[in-house]
This record gives sequence, structure tokens and C-alpha cells, in this order.
Amino acid sequence: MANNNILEVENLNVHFHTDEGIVRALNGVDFKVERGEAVGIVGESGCGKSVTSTSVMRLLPGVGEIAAGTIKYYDKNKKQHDIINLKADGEHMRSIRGPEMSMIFQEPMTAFSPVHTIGNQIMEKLLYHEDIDKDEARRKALELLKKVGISKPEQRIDEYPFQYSGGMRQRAMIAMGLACEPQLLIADEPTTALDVTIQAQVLKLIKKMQADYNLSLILITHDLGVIAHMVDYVNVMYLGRVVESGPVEEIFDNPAHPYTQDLLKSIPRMTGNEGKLASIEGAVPDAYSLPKGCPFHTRCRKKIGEVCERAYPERQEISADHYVNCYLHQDLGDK
Amino acid sequence: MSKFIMHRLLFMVVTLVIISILSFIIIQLPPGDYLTSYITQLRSMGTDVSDEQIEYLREQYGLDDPVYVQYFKWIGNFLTGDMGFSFSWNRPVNELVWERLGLTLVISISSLLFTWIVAFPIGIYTALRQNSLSDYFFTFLSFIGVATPNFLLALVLMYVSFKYFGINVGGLFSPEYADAAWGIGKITDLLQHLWIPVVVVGTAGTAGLVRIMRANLLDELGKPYVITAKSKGIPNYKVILKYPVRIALNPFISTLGWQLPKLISGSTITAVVLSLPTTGPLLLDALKSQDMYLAGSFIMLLSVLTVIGTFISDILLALVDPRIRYV
Ligand SMILES: Nc1ncnc2c1ncn2[C@@H]1O[C@H](COP(=O)(O)OP(=O)(O)OP(=O)(O)O)[C@@H](O)[C@H]1O
Ligand code: SF4
Ligand SMILES: [Mg+2]
Repeated sequence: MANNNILEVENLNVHFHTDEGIVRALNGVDFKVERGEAVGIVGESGCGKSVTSTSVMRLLPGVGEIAAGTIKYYDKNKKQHDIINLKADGEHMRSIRGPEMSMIFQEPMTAFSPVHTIGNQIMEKLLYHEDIDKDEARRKALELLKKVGISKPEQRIDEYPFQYSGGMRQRAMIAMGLACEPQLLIADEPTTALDVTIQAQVLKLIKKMQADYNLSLILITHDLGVIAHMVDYVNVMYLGRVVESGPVEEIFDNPAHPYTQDLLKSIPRMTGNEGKLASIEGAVPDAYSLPKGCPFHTRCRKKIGEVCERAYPERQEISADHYVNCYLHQDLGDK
Repeated sequence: MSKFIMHRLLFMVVTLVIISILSFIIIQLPPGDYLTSYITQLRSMGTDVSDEQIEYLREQYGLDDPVYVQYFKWIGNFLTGDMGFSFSWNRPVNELVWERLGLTLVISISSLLFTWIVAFPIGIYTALRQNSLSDYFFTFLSFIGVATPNFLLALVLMYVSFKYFGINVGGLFSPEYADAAWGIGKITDLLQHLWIPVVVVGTAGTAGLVRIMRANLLDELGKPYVITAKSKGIPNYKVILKYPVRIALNPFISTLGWQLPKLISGSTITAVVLSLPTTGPLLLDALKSQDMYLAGSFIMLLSVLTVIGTFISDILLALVDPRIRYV
């Protein structure tokens, strides 16, 4: 069977070595992205969404260590790259970062350098990877800015980030992400910092760019409402693990994991109970000392009993492409 | 930008006028006018001063005019380079000042360059190697550097070089060159003496700057825009030099102008200890002996440099930080 995946992440473990001890941020993350597909990663704050994406880009800070796992990336020519075994700042990894995969960040204000023009920062990427001169790079940058819907790009290109509005900055960030025509775009909470009205516009733009450039997309968010319209496949993360994954309709119609079910309940509805966000009860355990067994057992309403505290539940396929790690969906036999 | 500069220029002129009035008041502070003391001094030295001569001098300095006229005469002279007369040196003030200015600038600029050339690379290096052995080593060194008073370091260096190398390093020249004309020999001699004041004046500054540069850079290194730049596939060293280092340097570039007055007056104590013929000790003497024309002119000169320095700093700040330029 021909492999149509662009990214395969298996058993990814990431630790942070801090003064207070080791933070086990990721404890075996599994997910994959098919070529041209949009995949969502959802979960509460601190569950490891950003760590997952920065690991894929090999942009973890110095204290972060990939302790185990594999990350396989398949480039434009379907050649396989073993991301974990590349040097983070090596030439090989850097030839992937930019022309193959690129990233859009949550806070467009701080993600741009405040003292360089937007044009300078976009052109830098083009000039570094492509064999073109400054005029050509500028022409391409202008084209990109126009493409993402920035008016008067000839004037805007020489302006600084603080002269842009929040929404425009994120558009410029998307333009920069699209420079060098990458295959895989990772958007880490691209709209969290924006006004609600602007959020919809930016999401629409990302969706359009995905179609126009035939991109594979990883959309990270803690907002399941955003996920519904944007992606084909959803991964639900809890405490450094993917606990449930499946096609987007499946997740919304038949959520199998108690955590996913709680997340869905917490989506604010536009009718009734306005502004009342049903949040999941209990605090997220801290990442220094993870609970044994199923990590959700400290908050789970459907906890079966002692079995949930013994070992991590194995992954079960409960319908086509729909996986869950929960004892509710395992034949417990005489355990 | 031009509006910004005009605004600052106007501000500068107003400040300078106020400062000149203050300097003039300082000159006028001692009881009696300076001519009286001048004549007393001349007479005490046995010079005969006739009444016509006194009258002539009174007229020339306008001492019978109202105070504001005197002020305008003084400031007018000041602007043309005539800063009045020093009674304790018995020479025109501007001669005294210019004579020492050259050497002062040599020492100050050398120390400033020394400070920056040593401090910035070490600051950047220790920030990038945070908590490594070399970081701790330089941190230790710079704490010692910051904590050692300059004059103490000067004394120690003088003692050591005299005791072990038999060189007397006080002053800027060996006796045989002190009054000699400029030539290769004198320049070599100057360089042999120069390193001590440069090291002494530069050490504390270097140590402080290493700490500041390291802290500034550490602040910037974890910023999201650094990760963005790396996400574009640009090599680390290029990213670090273009973004965080540039931004960590901004405060220094923008305060460059403030070094201007320090170049002239700085490190007086060190200069006294090392008996350097610079402007610092001159100002100190002037204040001690109530040589008011010398002191007043000095204060005026330093203030002018401070104001000009601030002006330059403002412009530089606007140049390096677009957020200020566009307000
Ligand atoms: N530099 C770091 N040093 C130590 N711990 C870290 C570091 N970065 C992340 N972590 C830890 O890793 C875990 C996951 O963090 P991550 O940023 O991936 O969360 P997230 O899911 O992206 O949350 P959010 O929705 O708030 O962005 C957290 O427990 C966090 O404390
Ligand atoms: S394994 Fe047990 S504790 Fe964990 S989610 Fe399932 S039922 Fe709840
Ligand atoms: Mg995050």
C-alpha cells in the first residue's frame, strides 16, 4: 500500500530538565498527517500541544530533550526524513524548516522582530532558501502579502509590525509561513490572540491557503469549536498523550473518551447558557509527578475502578480510523 | 523624523540658555568681582598695576555694566572661544582646557573602545553558554571587576609595575618626553603609559557592561521572534546576530551620546591617583581654589556636551528603534 502520509509521529517522549526537576511534557504521542489533510490537535492548556509542534520543527529550547520516539517526514519527492536523528541546527534540518514545513505562531506581535520591517523578515526566508536576488525576493514578498489580503502591500511591506493591526500581523505571519512554498503548515493557536470577528477571517484565510497551496495542515487549538470547521481529523491530547483520535464527525458525534466528552460539553453554545462555560472539574495534575495508569483517572467521572490506576490503557480502534485509550472500550476480561 | 529632530533641537537650545545662566551665576558667586582678586594677586606677585590699567580692564570685561549686559558679553565671548581668565594658573581658560582636552580624549576614547571590544563579545558568549563553566568564570571575574574601586586598582597596578618592572607609570609620559616635541619616541612612550589608565578606567565599566549585555541578551534569546526566525531555517548564529544581539545592543547604541560628557570629566579620582594631565584634576583644582572662570567655563562646557550628547542619544534611539521614530 502506497504510503500517503506526510508526517508520522510515534511514541514521542519529551522531557524538560528544569531546576525543579524533570518535566515530562510528552509521554508517548502518536499521530499522523496525510498529505493534503488538515489535522487538529486539541487539549487543555499545558497538555503538550506546542511542545509537540516545536518537536516536529526541532525548535525545542535547550532544556528540552526528545527522550524517545520517532518523527518521520516525507518531503515533496516522498523521500523519508528521520527528523529525530537530525541535528536541530544542522543543514539537513534547516533545509526542511522553511521549504518543507513552516509554522504560524499564536502571538503575531511578539513573533515578529519589532525592529525589522515585515518585508525584511519575509524576504530573509526567501533569500536564504532560494537562489534569487533582492528585487526578486521583494517581488515575491509583495505577491504573498497581496495573496493573504493585505491592502496596499507596496506601502505595507516597508512597515514595522507595530504599524500593523493584530489581524494584519497574523496575515503577514501566514504570508511568511507560505514563503518558499512549504508542504506542511503548523498553526499553533493562530487566532487565540485575536478579536472574535478577526478570528473567523484568519481561519478562513488559512483554509483558503490550504486549498490554494495544497498544504497539509496541523491546527493546534484548545477550542473544539474552531476544530469543527477547519480539519478532517482530530487528535485529543491529555497530559502529553493523544488519548483519542478520529475523523472530525466521529469525534463530535461519538466521542469515546470521557475527557473528549467533557471537552465537547465545555464548548460555549450560542444559544442558552450564554457565557457559561462548563469547565471540566478538577485540576490538571502537574507534569512533575504524573498519575499512574490512565492519567485522567484523577478527574474522570466514569472511572471504572482500580483498573484505571494500574497501567496505561492500550489503544483500541473502535471504528474506522477512530482510536481511543480508555478501559471503557477494552474487554477487561478477568482483570 | 524631521519633526522629531526639530522638536529636540528646540528643546536643546532652551536647555542650553538656562544652563549658561546658571554657569554665569556660579562665576559671579564669590564676593567681589574677579578683577579685584586679579589685581590683588598681581600686586602680591610684585607686579605694578596702574589705575589706567585697572580702568582699561574694568572696561574690557564690562564690570561696570548691568549684570545682564555682563552676561551677554560673557556668553558672547564664550561662543567665540574666549572663556575668561584663570587666576590660579594665570592663563586664559581656553588654553588650559584645550591643552588637556586632547590627552583626556585619548584616554577616554581608548577606555571606551577597550570596554566595548572586551565586554560585548564576553557578554554575548556568556549569555549563549549560560550556566557553563566559562560563564561562571567570567561572572566571577566581572563581579570582582565591578567591586574593585578604580583608584585601588590604579594603586595596585602602579605598585606592581614599579616593584617588578621598575617602571614608574604615573602620568602619561616619562620625564624625558614630558616637554619634548611630538615624534615616534613620544608616541611610543605615551602608549607605554596609556595602558594602565585604560585598564583602570575600563575594568569596572567592562565588568558592568558584561553583566548588562549578558542579561539583556538572555532576556531576548527566549523571545518568540527568535523562534520564528529559527523556524525559517536560518542558521542559529545568523539568527542570534541579526535579532536578539541587535535588540540587546539597542540600549548601548542609544546611550552612546551620554558618554560624551563622561569622556571629558570622567574618572577624576583615577586621574589624580595616576597624576594624569587630563581635564578631571583641572576641574577639581578649579573648584578647590575658587578659580571661578575656570570652574564656570568647565561646568558650561560639560553641560553643553551633556545636552548635545542627549540630543545625539535621542536621534540614535530613534534610528535603532522604529517604534520611537514613528510616534
Ligand atoms: N521551556 C520549558 N521548560 C519547562 N517546561 C516546559 C517548557 N515548555 C513547556 N513546558 C511544559 O511542557 C508542558 C506542555 O506545554 P505546552 O506549551 O506544549 O502546552 P500547550 O498544550 O501548548 O498549552 P497552551 O494551550 O497553554 O499553549 C507544560 O507542562 C509545560 O509546563
Ligand atoms: S481509563 Fe478509566 S479513568 Fe481513564 S478515562 Fe477511561 S474510564 Fe476514565
Ligand atoms: Mg501552546
